[in-house]
Amino acid sequence: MKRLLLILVSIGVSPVVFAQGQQELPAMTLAADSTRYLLYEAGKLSPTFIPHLMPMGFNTVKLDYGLHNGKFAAAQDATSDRTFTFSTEGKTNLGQTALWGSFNYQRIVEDSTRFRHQTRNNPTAPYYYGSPAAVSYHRALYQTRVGLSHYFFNHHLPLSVGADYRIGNHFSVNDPRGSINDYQFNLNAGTGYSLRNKFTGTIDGYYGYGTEVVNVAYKNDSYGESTVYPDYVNYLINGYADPNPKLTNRNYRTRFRRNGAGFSLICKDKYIGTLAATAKRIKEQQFYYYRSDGGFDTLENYTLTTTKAQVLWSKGHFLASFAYEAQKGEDYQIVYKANNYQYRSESYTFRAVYTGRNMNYGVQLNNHTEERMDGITGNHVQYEHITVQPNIGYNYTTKKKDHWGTDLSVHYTQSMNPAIYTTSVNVNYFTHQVIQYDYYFNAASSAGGMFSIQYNKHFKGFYAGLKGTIAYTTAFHESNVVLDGAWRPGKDRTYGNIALQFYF
Amino acid sequence: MKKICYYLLLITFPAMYSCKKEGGVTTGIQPVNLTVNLSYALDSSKYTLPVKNVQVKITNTSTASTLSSTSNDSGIVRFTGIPAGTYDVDATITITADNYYTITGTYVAEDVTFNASEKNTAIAVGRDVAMKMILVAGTTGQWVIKQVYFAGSNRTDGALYRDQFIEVYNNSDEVLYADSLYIGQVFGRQSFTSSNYYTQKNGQMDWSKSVNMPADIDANNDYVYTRTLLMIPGTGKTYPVQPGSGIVIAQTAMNHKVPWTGANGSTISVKNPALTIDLSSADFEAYYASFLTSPLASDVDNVNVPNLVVLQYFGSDWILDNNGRDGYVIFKAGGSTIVKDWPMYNFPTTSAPSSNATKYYQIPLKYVIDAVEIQPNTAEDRIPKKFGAQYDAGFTAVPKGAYSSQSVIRKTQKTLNGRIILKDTNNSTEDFDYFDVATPGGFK
Repeated sequence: MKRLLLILVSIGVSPVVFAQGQQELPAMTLAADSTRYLLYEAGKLSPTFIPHLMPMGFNTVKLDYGLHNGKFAAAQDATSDRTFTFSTEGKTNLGQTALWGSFNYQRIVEDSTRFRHQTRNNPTAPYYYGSPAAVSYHRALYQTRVGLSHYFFNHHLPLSVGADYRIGNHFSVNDPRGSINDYQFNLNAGTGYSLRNKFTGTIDGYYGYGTEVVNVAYKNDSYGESTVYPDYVNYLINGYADPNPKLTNRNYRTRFRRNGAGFSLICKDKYIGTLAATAKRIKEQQFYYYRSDGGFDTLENYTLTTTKAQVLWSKGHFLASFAYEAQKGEDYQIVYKANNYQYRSESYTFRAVYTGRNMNYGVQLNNHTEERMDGITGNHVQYEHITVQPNIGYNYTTKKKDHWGTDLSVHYTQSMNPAIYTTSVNVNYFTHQVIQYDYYFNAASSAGGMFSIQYNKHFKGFYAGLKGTIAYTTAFHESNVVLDGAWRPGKDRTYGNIALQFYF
Repeated sequence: MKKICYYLLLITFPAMYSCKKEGGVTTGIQPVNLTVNLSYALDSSKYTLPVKNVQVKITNTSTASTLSSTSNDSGIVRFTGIPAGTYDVDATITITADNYYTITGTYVAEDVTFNASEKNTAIAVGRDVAMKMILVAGTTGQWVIKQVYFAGSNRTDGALYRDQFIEVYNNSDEVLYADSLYIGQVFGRQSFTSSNYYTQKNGQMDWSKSVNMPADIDANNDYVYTRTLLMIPGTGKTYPVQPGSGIVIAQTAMNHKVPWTGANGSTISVKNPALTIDLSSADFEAYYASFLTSPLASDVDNVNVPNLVVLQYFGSDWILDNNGRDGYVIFKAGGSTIVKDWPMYNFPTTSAPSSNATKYYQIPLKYVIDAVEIQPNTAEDRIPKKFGAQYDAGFTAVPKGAYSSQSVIRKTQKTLNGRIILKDTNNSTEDFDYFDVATPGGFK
């Protein structure tokens, strides 16, 4: 119990407290070792993996400040943003129970977000408010995650439990002033069979719920009560087509319910190394409604089914993983009494990493497709991206155990078979500034690189260091399709961040 | 151990593959067939009025796209393969005066227009939709509501709601007297969302459920309910209005383009005079300050403009709903009828209203000379209709909405010997246009 209290304190307030009394474990070594670090990250995929992939003694605290800038971005993304992140995570064992936890706080300031009064967690949803005017969104996000794994019956019956709680406050500081408060809670549990600590398999169940409360208001009432100022008109986007103005009762709520099932398997053997696999399918139902003194009015229903699977193999200094993710979203329009909006995405990612004595080598291949359709208008947009991203890193540890590390990666994304159809009727702001804009954005190929460097000073019981990252992406091979009136994205986008990090 | 790992792979990859397999993307949206079956109201059933060639127009409220067709010999119109959605359906037929006499034996001076409408009708996917519509002839009075300036002008640069007015017009060929002409601001539900009211099928309040409402009257179809009721003063022939002339009834009869002194001595001005109007020469004004304990500073009395008689009011001045959620009626009651004594009722709330809950005058539609249904300008903000097709089959709105300086203005039908005759088919959708800036005395 004392250790449980210690880890809770360390997650939330002062991780250094937890470090005291621990033997000096090679946290920094793990962080610098791409293979081991990816195994550690894979431990977060399922609580079943925690005792197998997460070593004791890797506890971190990070303060991170990052910047995005540039107009080669999706239409509803911010052209620039600044993100401050405080995060801490750690793992310990309480008797026979492996316990991992994390806490994350983010403060995000976005410039020039258009047509999107939404959280960033539900980008496929068909029902939301938006305006052509660019607004500056401020977001405060808090997320805590906990996972534990315990074995019963002479280590034959595994039980794993995970929980994830997130709350957010999002608001824009200029008209139209969107305000979104949300929370999401997820719980998962699994049990199965374990054989001699070499094989563990669990059947997992998932359950979750949450709420979003959305409101749009104006400081300058003149902007919101008529259509005299077109940029400031509040539109109700419902589907994937030009929306209608919504001038009164500009608020709604969304209730989320999730459930699903999956499995997690892991086997460790000195001959084959570590082989882990997990898959799950979660069906999320979103109920949009308006609440008034007279009761509740259903506005829209939306079902999002997410399927994820990941296989990971590692032996020695080598790791390979393959990940699959698919999302299928479809709404149910109350007025039409039918499904109108369809969303699909699929992503395959292969990754291979080799960690040498001082060098890390890696390559990642990704194929991503996305498709959106609106039944009423017939609007239909789809694209496919193939990305290759090799990277190389160099790590050096001084005699005083100080650590230097650099990493360089380049990426190339080839856009394949982009297609767009938009109706010629009722074409207005949303079609030009979002649908057609995003077509140009996704139809372009892009390339760029990222370079990071870090220095971590060794102190007794922990490391403290700085890490800096810069990244640049530029677009080329842009679409020659002429869409009258369409807005186009910019040419490039940059990213930079600096982080103060502690490993203990 | 190796076998276990091989089995693991064998399980995982098929699972991933099974997730991937999926057909082409389609939605549940299918075209809908709409059949409109037209007939006449029972009052007209003693003779056979033509059901052929009735013009039917359907308007998608989201896209504003329209389709029109005419009925066949059986009074049936079919629209095939239309997108599901929310529609306004309007039917109209005009029977010439000669033809009407031939059919009915009744002489009428003007052509007779029959209307029917179903507003904001959800036509859903999944089946063919059949709709019955009853054509009714409205009352075409000598007085018409010509212009309604409810939107007001910009909050900061204009005059807010101070410059609102209604214009009433003599559409006849004889001198009419405005004395004892009543102007009612008709109230109802302000949205389609759930409420604590009993409601009718069309979403409007079910007034028959109001406390103390007599059971032997048709409270919903034979009456409307006002929250403001004003009357033009006079002894009977005090205020003559010439054929082809109108009277402007202002909230505050001042020149709103220039600064003026409010009742509390403050200066009331606008930043942009082009957004507002000069109402200093209005014919009548609503002056509430004489009976309010805390009147608005802007409610000053222009001594050159006669004041209306206030029978019922709400708020601190005659403020028309800027969003366009009120309807308007004008009527005259018989000489022996004391309008002030007409009954008033509470909203038909599902729970018993409190003893001090607001009551609303019940206006018999049989006295109504003209009615205009106003709606907000955006499809998402529509409200339930207040008038049946006999009084206003449609509605009108200003395109830019509240505080836009725009007004709705009745269209000119024709000019006869220099006298402008305004269009009056009892369908405001067809009868009205708009001014970008309200224009008292203007024509369109």
